Amino acid sequence: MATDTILPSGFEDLSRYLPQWLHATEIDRNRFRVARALPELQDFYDTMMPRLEDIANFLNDFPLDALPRECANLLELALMAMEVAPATEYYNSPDVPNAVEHEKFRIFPLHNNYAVVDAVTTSATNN
Amino acid sequence: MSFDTDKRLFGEARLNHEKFPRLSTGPVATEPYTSEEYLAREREEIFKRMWLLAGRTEKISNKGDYFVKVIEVLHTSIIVVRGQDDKVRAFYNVCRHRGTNIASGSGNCKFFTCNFHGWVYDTEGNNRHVADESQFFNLDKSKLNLHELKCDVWNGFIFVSFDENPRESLLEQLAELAPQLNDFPFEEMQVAGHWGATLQANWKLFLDAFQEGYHVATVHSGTINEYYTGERNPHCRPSSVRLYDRNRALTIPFNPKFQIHPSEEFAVKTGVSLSQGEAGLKESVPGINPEGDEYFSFDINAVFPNWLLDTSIGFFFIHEFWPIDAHTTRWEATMYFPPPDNAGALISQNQSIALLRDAFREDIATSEGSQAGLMSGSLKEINFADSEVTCRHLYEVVDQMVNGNWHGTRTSA
Repeated sequence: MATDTILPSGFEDLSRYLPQWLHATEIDRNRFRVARALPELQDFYDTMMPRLEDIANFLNDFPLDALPRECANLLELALMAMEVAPATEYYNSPDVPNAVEHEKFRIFPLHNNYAVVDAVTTSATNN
Repeated sequence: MSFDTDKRLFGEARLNHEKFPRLSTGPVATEPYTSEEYLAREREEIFKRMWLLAGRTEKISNKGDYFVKVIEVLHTSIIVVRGQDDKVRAFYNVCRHRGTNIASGSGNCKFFTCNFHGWVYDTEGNNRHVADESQFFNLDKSKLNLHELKCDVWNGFIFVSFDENPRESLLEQLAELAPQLNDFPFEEMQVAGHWGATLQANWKLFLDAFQEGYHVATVHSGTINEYYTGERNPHCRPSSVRLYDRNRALTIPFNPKFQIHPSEEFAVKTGVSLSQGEAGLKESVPGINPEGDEYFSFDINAVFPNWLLDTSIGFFFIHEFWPIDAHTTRWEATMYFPPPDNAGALISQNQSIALLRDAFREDIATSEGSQAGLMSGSLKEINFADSEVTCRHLYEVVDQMVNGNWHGTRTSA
């Protein structure tokens, strides 16, 4: 089974967003968001917001530095939800309407605050 | 004294100038924002003499950790390194042979080896090896150690001075901000967001975009404007302002009628939020809101010359403005949160990170247009409103210093 299409049980309803909405970094999440149409973002946002509390309660039982892949997938959906939130809550637009161009704006890469444990090799890979 | 009773945030009284009557009220000439000659004087009188922000100690938490910082306005780069003796030092990134940079980026090492001819220095700056040494003439290695800069640390912030004999200690330069911010929990936090842009704008003009609220109702119209304005404060005036000899600070209140969104509602359940509104009133941290303003959102502490330290409950962020020339500046912003304990905290932090970053993209969109307008020469003077007193203060402090008045404005009330 491809690891980027699995979610923990109880969250299978979100699998329609896999793998396209999964991104491990802020740069990639932002790039993905600004290329979507607003109705897509609204649909994702409307689905994710009511689930955030359940998602957090579920994931909080796992150590952030050793997440099973299906948990990391769920976490990345939640992180994407927060990346999308300004678009639907404030800007009513996929991107910031009156903003400096992306080409001039640099998002520096950062170490991620979570790591995935690969069930096959049981070694942690830093995202 | 706080200005935050309802009448005063939209009344006609010009409260900041009442509080600081020694500040001028007349228009200011635009030349300091465009003149290369003026920048050259800023370089000599300010950037070569003052303690400049190099970074934070968590970047170099282990012995041998180092990073290189480019300081364009001084035509140099520096290495900041934690030695094997655990001491933090800064050196010109200049090999003592023929001037090559001996390090780049960041990392960890026991020795720096120059990529050109292999000279070796240790992390305390000592020259440890000269390749093919016999071929030199009377070479005294003890005089060829790395050129060390004055370096000091306050609350995890690393500063350097290019003045061999700094006129003031770091604490003297930080002045009133140091005791106020002494207990803010900076060291509990780590980088959570890091952004930058090099734009065609003078460093002071660029900095001004982030030290007044007057722009909020326009630049963030229809977006984060609603968080900071509303009936109580339609033009986003600061609820209080503090002007010191060179440093300054302002407190920005939130709109108490702000309707929190679902993402923010979740964020405050598992952490804090940039846009938390009333939820932020439940707790406090040391070092913020020194005048006890109502509906505190965040403080902007302008540390002279060129950076802003914005503190709030549960996070802080900084802006740096590095001049490249009179009309070009490299801006870097970094947001800090405590390391997330669990997934809920990480998801919560990402709400603020995305929103703050997007707001910055709105803020900096005004800078190049403003600079281009000033470069045309068409506008000879700028009128600053009372709510832009911090822009006037920066202007006047700089002008005093380039004209030889080391003490800035002496506006302390």
